[in-house]
Amino acid sequence: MTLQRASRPVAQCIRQSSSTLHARTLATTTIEPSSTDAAPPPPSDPFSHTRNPFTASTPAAEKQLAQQKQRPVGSRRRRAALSSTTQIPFTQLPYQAFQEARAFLQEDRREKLEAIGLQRVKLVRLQDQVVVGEQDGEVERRKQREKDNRVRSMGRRLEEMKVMADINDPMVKKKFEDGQGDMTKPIYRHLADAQWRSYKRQILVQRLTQMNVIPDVLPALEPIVSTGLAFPTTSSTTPARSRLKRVQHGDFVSSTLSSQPPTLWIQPYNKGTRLCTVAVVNPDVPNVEKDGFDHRCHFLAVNIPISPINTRVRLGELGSTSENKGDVLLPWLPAYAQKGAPYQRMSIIVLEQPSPTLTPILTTLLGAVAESQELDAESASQDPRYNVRDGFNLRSFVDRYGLKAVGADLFRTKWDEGTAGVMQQAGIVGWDVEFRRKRVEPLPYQRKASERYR
Amino acid sequence: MAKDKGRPKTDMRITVIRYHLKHPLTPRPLRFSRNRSLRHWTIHRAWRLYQTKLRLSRQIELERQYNSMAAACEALRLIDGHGLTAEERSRVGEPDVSEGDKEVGRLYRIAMRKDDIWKGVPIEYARIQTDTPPRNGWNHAWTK
Repeated sequence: MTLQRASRPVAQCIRQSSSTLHARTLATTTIEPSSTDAAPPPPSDPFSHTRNPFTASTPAAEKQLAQQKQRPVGSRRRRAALSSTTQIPFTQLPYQAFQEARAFLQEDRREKLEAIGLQRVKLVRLQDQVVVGEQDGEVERRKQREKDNRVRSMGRRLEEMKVMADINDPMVKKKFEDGQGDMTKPIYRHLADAQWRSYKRQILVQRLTQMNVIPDVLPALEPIVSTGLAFPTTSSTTPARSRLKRVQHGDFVSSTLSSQPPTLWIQPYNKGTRLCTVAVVNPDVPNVEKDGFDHRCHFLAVNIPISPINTRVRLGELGSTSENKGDVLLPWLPAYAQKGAPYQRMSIIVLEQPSPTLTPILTTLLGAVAESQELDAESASQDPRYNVRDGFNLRSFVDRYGLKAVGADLFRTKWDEGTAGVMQQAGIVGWDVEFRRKRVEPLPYQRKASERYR
Repeated sequence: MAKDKGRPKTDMRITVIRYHLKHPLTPRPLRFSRNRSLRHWTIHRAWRLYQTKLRLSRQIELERQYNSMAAACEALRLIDGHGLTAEERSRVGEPDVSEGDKEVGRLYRIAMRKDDIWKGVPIEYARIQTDTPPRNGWNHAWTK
């Protein structure tokens, strides 16, 4: 036993070199996988009688696997490739340029980590500096502002440096592409943000501007958080677990589907938990008297905690249980468009609640979010401007509570067969109303006399 | 010709691209496996990082050289014929600046002259630099 333990480093060394020499042969000994990268699954050892679902590629092997009641994993080509490759973890693959590149990048990462340490020390030292001057003097206030600006810039630089340290790592890239990125780490948040901004955010902004949600509902909106929407489909066979139907930005949603409150995913890309407000506004409610359109609020909830790891918001279950924190001011009203009316846009706006002014700059450091202030749901529900659905003015609501629009989503409704039923069930007045176009009298046409003008 | 006018005209750029992509002598595009492409990406990132570091170090070296030259010129500008700045002169107790006006920075002004520099390299460049150059420069009338 002690002999084995003593000879372990030597044994490891020999095993390592033998594996690189015999890279082409089937490895019967497994190499200890390093903690950072996962080695491919080892081949089954020659005396076992069970087939490995990752490496069974011959017809006989597949038959035996089926007898084991297991399904093969991956295509047959992949399984054949895996069964004939060695068990070297990716980062230790013996390609010279790759290993040289890795060595260079690791050296660079070490330098960057040192720089991060120095930056942290500098930041702490800067924060410890006290601004001297006469109390409430002009100069003192300016110096305090300058100091705050410098602290903020240094914090932002520190966050950038953290991302730059890991951005050249192929394992980080691989993990992120496989969807296993840990959102508590800045590098994965950065990669997810970059991915969202490269395509999906552009689509979202295009849909919002083309559908004119931006000037109609809010004057300007720069999405910072990504949103996803899905409605539950209540299938009669599985009453307990309803499936969710994803909705793309700007899709038409049938009235039966949108009668149930949806699930909204809100993904922020800076660290920290913040409280959000979600408002669903329909700016296309027809108003015959004024020959125009009104706004109507279909849903309003405040104090919803959102963080990079807690992104799911079930609009129907907010505030109901102790774990679903959030105060619902106006519960979900199904989206409906009466017959004859044009399609109606349902915009979902995500607003971030402000941080209290007394929070010192320390907590807004490093790109983190300061503690959001809780919005007083009681007083908001008493306010006559915001507890009615019809004529709800989101701009006024945003101004009153100092909210900041950080994200949006959009779907559209039009009249379909189920709308009347949904309106009746929800108890909405006017389920049998049909809009008709007003006949416009044509201008009198003067027929000219001769044949030439026919 | 008259019949062709009805169909929409295809962009010639598309034709050219398709020609070059589908030509039998064009090598086919490489398709890397996952691991192969990750290795390629790593090598590419490392190479670009290395090139950036090289470029920045060259830039910094040039900046350092420039700053050193600028500092030297500035020091020269404040020095008179005896190698003293105004402050040192007053400390030593020499007569005032009014006399030394032409002397202060004379060599600096001579060095900054830019007339006729590279149309034929001036003979003065062939001389080794000294701390105390003569006032008359080059004697063009010198014979053996």
